Amino acid sequence: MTRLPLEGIRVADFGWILAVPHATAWLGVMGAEVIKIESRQRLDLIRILGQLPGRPIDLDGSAYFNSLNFGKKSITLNLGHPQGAALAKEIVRHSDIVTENFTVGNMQKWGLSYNDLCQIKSDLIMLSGTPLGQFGSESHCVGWGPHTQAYAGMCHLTGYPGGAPSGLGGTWPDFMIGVVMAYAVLSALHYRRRTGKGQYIDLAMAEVVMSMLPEGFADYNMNGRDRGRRGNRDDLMVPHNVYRCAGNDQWAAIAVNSEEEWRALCETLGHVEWLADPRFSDQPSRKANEETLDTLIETWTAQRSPVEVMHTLQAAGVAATPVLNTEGLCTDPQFLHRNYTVAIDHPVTGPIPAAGIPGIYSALPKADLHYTPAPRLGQHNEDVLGGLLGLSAAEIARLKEERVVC
Amino acid sequence: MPEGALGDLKIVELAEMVAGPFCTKVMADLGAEVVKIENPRGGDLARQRGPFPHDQPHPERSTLFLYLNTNKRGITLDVRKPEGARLFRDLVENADILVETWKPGALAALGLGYDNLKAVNPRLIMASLTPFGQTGPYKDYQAYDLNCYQFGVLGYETPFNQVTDPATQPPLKAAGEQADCLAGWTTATAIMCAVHWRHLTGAGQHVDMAEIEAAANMIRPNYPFYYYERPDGPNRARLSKRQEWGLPWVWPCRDGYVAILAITDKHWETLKDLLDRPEWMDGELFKTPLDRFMHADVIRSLLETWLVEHDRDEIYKNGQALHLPVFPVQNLTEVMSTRHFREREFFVPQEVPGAGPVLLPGPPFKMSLTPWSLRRPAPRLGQHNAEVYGGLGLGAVEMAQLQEQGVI
Repeated sequence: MTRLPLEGIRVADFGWILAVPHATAWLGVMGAEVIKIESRQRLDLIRILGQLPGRPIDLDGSAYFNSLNFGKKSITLNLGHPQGAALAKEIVRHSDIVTENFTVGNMQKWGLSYNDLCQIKSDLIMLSGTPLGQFGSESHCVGWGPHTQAYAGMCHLTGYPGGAPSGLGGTWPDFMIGVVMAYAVLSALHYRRRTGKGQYIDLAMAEVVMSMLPEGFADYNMNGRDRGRRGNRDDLMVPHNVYRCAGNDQWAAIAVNSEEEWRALCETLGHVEWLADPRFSDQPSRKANEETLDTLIETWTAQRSPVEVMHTLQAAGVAATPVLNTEGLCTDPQFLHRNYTVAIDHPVTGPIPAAGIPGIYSALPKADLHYTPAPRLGQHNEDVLGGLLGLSAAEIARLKEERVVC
Repeated sequence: MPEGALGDLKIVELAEMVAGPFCTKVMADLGAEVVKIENPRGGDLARQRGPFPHDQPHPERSTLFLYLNTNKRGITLDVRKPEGARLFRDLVENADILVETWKPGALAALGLGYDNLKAVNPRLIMASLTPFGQTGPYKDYQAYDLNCYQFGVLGYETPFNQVTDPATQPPLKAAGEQADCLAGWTTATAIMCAVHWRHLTGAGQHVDMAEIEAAANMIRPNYPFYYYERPDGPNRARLSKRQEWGLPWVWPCRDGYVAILAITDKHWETLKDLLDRPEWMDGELFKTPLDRFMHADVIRSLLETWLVEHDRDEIYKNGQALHLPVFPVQNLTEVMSTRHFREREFFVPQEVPGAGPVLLPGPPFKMSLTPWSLRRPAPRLGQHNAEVYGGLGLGAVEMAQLQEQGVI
């Protein structure tokens, strides 16, 4: 039996929606015991979204939720009830890590702030993830991940030239920030293994987004220039764009960096004369005539499928790839070869493939990672309240009756 | 200064441009000791990219390079030369982690693959980060940030629900190098998993990371949606079309743009309050989240009519007072003057030769006990050769010889 990196680590996970659940899915898959603390009073919205089509709403039947919450347990606690909050505290006493992404002030209201919790568990690691962080004049603002890219300048810098500010796909930055949260917690845990000390992590989603925009801020603060929106263009690389291919809404991305790649592109497209053409003979000339060059390239791509564009240009060493849509992603040979998805047999939805944890780990075969089905709502009430906290069946029944466990 | 969270980890970086260096930057910023290897012929290509002070290219003045390589020491080394390979092996022997972004098989061809290095240092964690990973039919294909963002479906969904005419609006990349930076975060997280496994077992391992997987990891919901909407079902087309996908969340208003997302019933009610409860919002078409999704086009035109008659900051202030998730779309002048970010001391002055201190992004998250820190600026090309090679026991004469041979 393979040992997993986080065996023996327990996470009290108050997270919901997307970012924290993604982070704790990663921790769970790597062997941590993740106890998702939820309730019917404040349902994780994702349990409702992504229902199987043509069926009545089933809180355990969202394949979307299930694809984001594998490797975890679920208990239902009403945190607004003093006994619910007290039980949550008891779970924290037996945990190493607490994760949460409620609006600022909620955990405090329930007596579950870091200051409260480190009294009962002195080496606790706790992460709070919110749009704008725990302090600062706007920290009270409510929002989802995508709002933070608007506030952080990302939308302002993304878009077609002359067009509107644009939002990024994939409910960016939610899932990205889930990865960062896992990284932050794993780093704090590494420090604790060495020193025995826990700590608090205040993560503001907008700040993570800004930490990934160095060029925009450098150009602005150093040269006084707001670079605005540049479509698919690059500062230096040319050609560098998304080109129409044969078929309806079919596209390929091509990026050329070196002179060697430029030569390979010209040869492959059958236009060696471009190498001597004064409009294209060096990088600055190509940059100055980028529109013209893009039009010429598109006459070639428009007669080919995106996959054909890729194979033909890659054979010559040019970075060309299809723009995949979801169908393309789910049927792409490279993703299939690397076995990126996991099809966990869930008792309600069956084995629907889900995105796995990225990467292949030589000492951690995928089959041994903790990809257990996402929990049904409250599935582990008895397991956790009875097994971990030692409550009797009668006590648990009373808590259910009093709507503490619900 | 307190020790960083990763203060005991020694990392060797054999990477350039964005993805690999960003991975080791986020670890160096938490205290890891990183030795960055650059080729002696000009070094990291990011040095050529800028932005530069006054747009004057200079290999020691690229703010992209300076940002991506904070807190690292830098050496030059030609790993392809036999003597260079030997020195590389010595460096790796004393390291905890190697991060490399060479083409699959390229290091192994020099006798420096994981199996070779493991023999030298069984505790080594080696992370190989490439666009497509170490295995599979496309493993040898090339890709830049643009390609990975588009191959991972992120481009197909950008701009999100704002495409009005797919024929003239191609899939779009995000600003900067988002796929590359994301791959950096993802690799750092994977490395930390391997570090924890080493705590238990004492053994290292090889992490094979594909940038396209880091990107596909961002569109997790699409997998289940695709699989349970059968090929002939009505909804799958939605995932293969870029328009009419539902409501956008970037909206025009009278003097700019706002981001609004009112998916839940609660937020829809709040939005009604913000609009002063117009009759149309109580219509049969908009009762449930699904109804509103199906009639997004109707909502789009009616809501926009109201928004373009109102000012951005008023919508933000009044919306937030009602607990509606709404934020202004800010330009860079506005971001830099946002009081909130100043109070949090997010932007940190960083020295750029030829420009003086420039405000650049600081800590991506705040750790209470082991704060993010700027201990040293990015290295000049070969700045730490004497220090690092001296640490391996090389004398001045040997170093001069190696320099003459073009090894360092």
